[in-house]
Amino acid sequence: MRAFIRDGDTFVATFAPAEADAIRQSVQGIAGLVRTHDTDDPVTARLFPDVYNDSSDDAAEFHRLTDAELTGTKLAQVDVLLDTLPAEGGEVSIDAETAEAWLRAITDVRLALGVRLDISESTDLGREIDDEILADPVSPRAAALGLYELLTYVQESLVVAVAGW
Amino acid sequence: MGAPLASPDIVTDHAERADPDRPWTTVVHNDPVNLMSYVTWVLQKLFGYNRDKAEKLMLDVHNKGRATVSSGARERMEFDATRLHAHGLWATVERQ
Repeated sequence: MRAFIRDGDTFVATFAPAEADAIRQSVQGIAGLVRTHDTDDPVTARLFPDVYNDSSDDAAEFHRLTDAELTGTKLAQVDVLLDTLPAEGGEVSIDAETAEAWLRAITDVRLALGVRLDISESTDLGREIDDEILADPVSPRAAALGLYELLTYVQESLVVAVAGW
Repeated sequence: MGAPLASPDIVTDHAERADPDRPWTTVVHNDPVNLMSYVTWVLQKLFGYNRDKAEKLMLDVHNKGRATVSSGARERMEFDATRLHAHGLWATVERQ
């Protein structure tokens, strides 16, 4: 992958085929989770947080009023990413509005992976990946950790480019 | 997208001070996933804060576990929280 850079009004990056495929699958996975909305799944709780900590009634009522719209937003940003990331990889060139949809879509995948992989403040990602690959190079956890690392890299480069820092 | 707060500088520096005109707050909580750069950018974008202010709030979230990012009428705080949720930040609405 070549990280995002700003080029005038557009944001440009290049993805290897395997990277594009993994990212597309992961956001499609988020779309599935969001549609299913399994309230027993901790990922759902993270993507649709309780707005009130001190009143479960108020929190539930707020979910009832707002979750459908938030679901629509999340599905729309998945579609934007899928429409602009070629399945075979290659160059991606997107405008600012599209870039913001990418940032939100990638955030949802990273949040979901964070829950599934039990990422904490003390997680040393490089070490986790090394240990996992040593133990079993084709383990699903190694692949998920690698995807998390890739998405972190994509996210960091895109947010810096969009913010203009 | 809603208008940025008219006077963002007065909003958070004294969040702990009781103010009958600003009885509700939006609080962002720390999480181990969202990047510091991303949180800073979201706070700039949603609230119109300059980079210094947004970074200070982000660092409060990171170091203290939480930061008050806006205060005002309950309905507006709920709106702010939904915008933060749409960006993947963990936000709650609380009575000040």
